[in-house]
Amino acid sequence: MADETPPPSDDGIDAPDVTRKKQRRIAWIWLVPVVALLAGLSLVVRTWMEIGPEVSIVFNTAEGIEVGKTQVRYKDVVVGTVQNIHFNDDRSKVVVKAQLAKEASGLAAEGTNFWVVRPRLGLSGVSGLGTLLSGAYIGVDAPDGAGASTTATKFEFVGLETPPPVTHDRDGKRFTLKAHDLGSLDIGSPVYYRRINVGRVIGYKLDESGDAVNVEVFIDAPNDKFVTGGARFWNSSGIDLSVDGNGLKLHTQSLVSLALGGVAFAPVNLNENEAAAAGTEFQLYTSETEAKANPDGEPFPIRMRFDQSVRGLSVGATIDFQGIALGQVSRITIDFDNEKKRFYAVVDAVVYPERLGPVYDRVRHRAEASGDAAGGRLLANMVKYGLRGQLRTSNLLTGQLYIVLEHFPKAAPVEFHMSDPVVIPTIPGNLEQLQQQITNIVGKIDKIPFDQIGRDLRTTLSSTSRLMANLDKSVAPEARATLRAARKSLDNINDLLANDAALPANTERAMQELGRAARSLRALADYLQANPEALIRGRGNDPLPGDARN
Amino acid sequence: MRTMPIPTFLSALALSALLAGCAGSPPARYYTLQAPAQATPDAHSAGYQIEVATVSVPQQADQPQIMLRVDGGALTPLYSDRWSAPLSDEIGAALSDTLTRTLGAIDVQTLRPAEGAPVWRIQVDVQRFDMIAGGPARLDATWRVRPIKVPGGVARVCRTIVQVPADDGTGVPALVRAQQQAVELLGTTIASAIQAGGARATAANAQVQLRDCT
Repeated sequence: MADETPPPSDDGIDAPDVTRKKQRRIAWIWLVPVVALLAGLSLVVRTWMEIGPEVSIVFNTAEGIEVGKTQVRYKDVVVGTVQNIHFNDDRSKVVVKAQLAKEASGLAAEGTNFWVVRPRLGLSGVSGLGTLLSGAYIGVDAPDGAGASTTATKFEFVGLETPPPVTHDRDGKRFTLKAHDLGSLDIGSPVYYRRINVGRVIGYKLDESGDAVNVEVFIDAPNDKFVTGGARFWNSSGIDLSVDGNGLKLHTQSLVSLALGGVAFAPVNLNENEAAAAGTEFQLYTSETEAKANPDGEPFPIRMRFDQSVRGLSVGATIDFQGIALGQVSRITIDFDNEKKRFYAVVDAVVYPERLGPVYDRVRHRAEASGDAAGGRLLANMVKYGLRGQLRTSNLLTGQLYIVLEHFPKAAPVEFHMSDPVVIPTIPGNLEQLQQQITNIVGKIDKIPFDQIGRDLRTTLSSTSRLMANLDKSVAPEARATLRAARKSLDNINDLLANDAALPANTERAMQELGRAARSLRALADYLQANPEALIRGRGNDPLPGDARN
Repeated sequence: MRTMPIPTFLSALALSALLAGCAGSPPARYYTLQAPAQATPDAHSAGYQIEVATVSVPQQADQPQIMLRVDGGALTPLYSDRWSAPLSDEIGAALSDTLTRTLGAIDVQTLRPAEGAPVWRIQVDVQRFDMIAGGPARLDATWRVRPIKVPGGVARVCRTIVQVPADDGTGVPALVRAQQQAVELLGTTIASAIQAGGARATAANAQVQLRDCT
């Protein structure tokens, strides 16, 4: 109240006591809008706190997606809704803005995938049929488990056009197989272990170098523990037909693999039987027998220099070691030696030491144990003991050559250094050596003075014929006479020594007389020993008791 | 004449006394094992000849004098009773005599047989030649007959023990006669073996024992 009232006059009436009430600035009525405001604010705050992150997902097309209706589902739990769909700047993609729930804010992180779940017909079957009734929704796949994030970190995503072959919540391991070509494999091709489907191919990609295809497979738990370090994978699509001396053999994995292609694996190298880590690379072989055979292993490039013509040696010729095909020639070129002023052939080849089998493993372990991981010392030792390359003929008709690595104990010593590629010394082939030796022999034969020898021979022959004539004329009759005289002497001797001739009989009689004389002498000596007085007194009477005497 | 010096005289005296004291030796008698010659039977010549090889005798009997066995291991040499030839020649001659007479074959030991003629070779090894004083004469011999170029003949080895008692009249002649008979019996036994072609040997009589014939 602004106006001041005049002071009350004294006219008998008491001026009323006017107490002025304090004027409230704000009227109570304002409480209502305040309360309403507060309520509204709290609602807003609560909603704002409860609001999850907003993510924008880029798709090629917005088919099946409706603003406000299409849900975002993770593990079939609704975690968000599509809020907005609009084009990107150049109208090539569709950006779908979806609002995620607060609890699911961890989904907006790196590694999350979004895709539209709608009915799809794929190689592995029909999926998403339920969406025919319920309408399409956006599926989410995020890594879960202990490493899952709980805060939103990423808000822009590129949606997948097809659902990921393997979601993160599936237990199992991924492995990469290096294949020569894709064959008849595709995403969804089954992976078999002992003819049981334990996984599937989830993706493939051409290798950067362009000479292999990297196929990614996923093996479900708990069967992923059967993929050991020594397991081998092979392509088991289609049928494996072999006809040989033992008959006809037909192998298939399953009808599915007949249609879709398939990969099978088995533990081949039993030395390594710990489960392989996720992401290990394996080689994809083209058939079971190839997988279970000795692997080629790591290729080891070598280089050899041949000073002779390599006509007949072609790319792909075998490198032979102790009868095992250890590798093949990959390149043949020509180079020039400035010191010797001649051309020589440089042959590049690739050997697979693992073709040697368990010997190589043992040797490699020993080399690694002694600290020589590259095998350089081992190779240096072998070269010192005479390991050389040599060209040999494999086919005499076509003249094809191959290279053999062998120990030549008599080879000249050669200095050896490890290099890349390793240079292995060579010695000339047998034919080369033979040619050299023949050349030497021919040179030596050339030096022999044949005409001089001929002349000497002629003089010798003439003197010999003269000698022969001499012998015939003078010596022969003498020899004949001598022989006749000798025969006469022999006849005389025969007569002399005949059975009843005088000479042997007289000789025998003389021997007998000699024997008798000796015996008599002996008897005399014995008698005299017993009776020495007989010399003087003579023989006495025989001392015999009784009546022996007449 | 001068008187001979005493030593010379004494020695001459001693020598004459010694010579006077020498008695003469008793005369030596010589014996032979060859029996006196007997009438040869009518000649039926065998189709073969025989060769009696030199007989081997034990050394204790192979003495020029007769060795008389007294008893046990004692031998008495009778120097006055001598063999006329070495004992092996005596036995050989006696055997040859018996065999040629019994078989009708000729002994070609010295004269050598003809080439290709069938010959029986006889080898005798006397192991015991005992003349026991007053007792029997014992002859123990191992003999062998071998055919050479005799069709169907086989060799035979045998051991023969002959014991002939001395006929009455003790003394050396009786013993010598007994040994003569023993050698003759041995010869007959060997002849029987040859006549059987070497198949078997037959003892000549009861005084002969045949042992270990093969």
